[in-house]
Amino acid sequence: MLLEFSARELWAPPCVCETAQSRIALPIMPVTLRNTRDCFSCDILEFHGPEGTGKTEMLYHLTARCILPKSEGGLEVEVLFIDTDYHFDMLRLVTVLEHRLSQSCEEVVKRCLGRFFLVYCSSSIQLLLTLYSLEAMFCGHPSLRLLIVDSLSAFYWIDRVNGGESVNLQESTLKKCSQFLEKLVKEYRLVLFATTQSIMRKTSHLREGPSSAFTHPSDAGVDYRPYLCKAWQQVVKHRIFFSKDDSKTSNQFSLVSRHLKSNNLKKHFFIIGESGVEFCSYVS
Amino acid sequence: MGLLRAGLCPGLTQDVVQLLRGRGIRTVVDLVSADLEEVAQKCGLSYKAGALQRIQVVHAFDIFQMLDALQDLRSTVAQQVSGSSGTVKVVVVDSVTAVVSPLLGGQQREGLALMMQLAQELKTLARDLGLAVVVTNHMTRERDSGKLKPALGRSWSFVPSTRILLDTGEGAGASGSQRTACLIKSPRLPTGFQETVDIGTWGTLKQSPALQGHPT
Repeated sequence: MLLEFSARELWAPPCVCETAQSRIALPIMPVTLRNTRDCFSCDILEFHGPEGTGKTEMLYHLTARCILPKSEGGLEVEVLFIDTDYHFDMLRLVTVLEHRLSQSCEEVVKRCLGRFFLVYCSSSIQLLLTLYSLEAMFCGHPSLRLLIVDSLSAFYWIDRVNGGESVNLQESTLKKCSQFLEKLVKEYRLVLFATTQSIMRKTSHLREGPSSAFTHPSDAGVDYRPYLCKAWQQVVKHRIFFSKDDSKTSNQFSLVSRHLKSNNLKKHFFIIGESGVEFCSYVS
Repeated sequence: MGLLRAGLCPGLTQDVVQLLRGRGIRTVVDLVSADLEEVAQKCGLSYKAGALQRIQVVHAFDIFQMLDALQDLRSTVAQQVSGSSGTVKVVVVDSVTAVVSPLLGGQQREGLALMMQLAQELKTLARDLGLAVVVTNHMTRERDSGKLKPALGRSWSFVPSTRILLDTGEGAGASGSQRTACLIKSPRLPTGFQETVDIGTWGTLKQSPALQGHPT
């Protein structure tokens, strides 16, 4: 990866991009985050849910929203997508873009994709090293404002076995990744969306978990059991739970967004069409 | 199981089956491991045998044999060594449940780590080498509700990008060779689309009437 940047760009003060920053999350999550005053520059959001509940589709929606030109309702900012489980489907992203553009010619789509950076990682060590090396990229691209990691829990079982008997050792790489992600988000004023998979059942009689119980009364309706390292639990500011209506007649998905400090809960419904996620109703 | 019979593949008529039996070739494995040039000459078979020769069968009865086989395949394809049958395009694993389910259960993390390692191998083949990877999995019942769900648990459910549920056809008029295929997970298409297939003739029947309004 050849990174070119000038010294002037390297030392650009972060506040230059703050207006773009605070605009990102508000249009994307219309009602969810509007009531909190800390405006989401430097924000870390976690998407959590079982398989098939629309987390990756929501990431395509956010990506499209960011890379589309302003004339088409986008934000014209750059996005870095880190794919850890080979899930990313370029054809799907291009389909979403084409459906959202008023005139979808190849030139416009190419320009949008020029604002999109994709990185694959196949182990947690590789993820950590990639993050270290990407710091130079954030320096050199002041319009790179959205960082996506899909998903952060992909190496969970492999890490647990590689760490032997010591829980600290098992979690050490992910802990370093979480701390470095927090540092990147703060220094370069990014918004980070990370997905974690629901691989643990909520019942208590299952296998031992390395993290202490972070259960909360409002988690009762949601199938959530924290299993990633404490360092990650601490850096997350919003947790968004995805679920799907299981009945055959409905193809509706829902998400519940929880702001962890204020414990505000918001629920939204959406469907997934050819052009990606479409929100159906707002419940405040 | 694996016995050659008429209709197993296009061109395999009863006469051909008898001819092969006369040469001591009874099962699919026999046919694939035989010297097909010789067989073709003696039995007057033509390109049909060539088609069967393009299927490479590898036995793997535990996870380590499976991982070895996949790594061998990866190095073979990566070096672009082509056998007489050309390069590999499709990898079929039948079934992944057979090698993974003995590892799961209890408090063992190693089993899950091996399963995820297998998942990574398969995904590397699919993504980096551009192969189509098809795996078969079984169904189990949920402990509390008794509902049917795919085996191998939650961690595996995130691994495949597309999932098709096969079921025996039910209802009046369903004959023994009918099966339904339902799309339950897809990165690009809406789920729920269903098709009925006749495995005797390998043709499709009418679309399920309840889902005819769905876009394909």
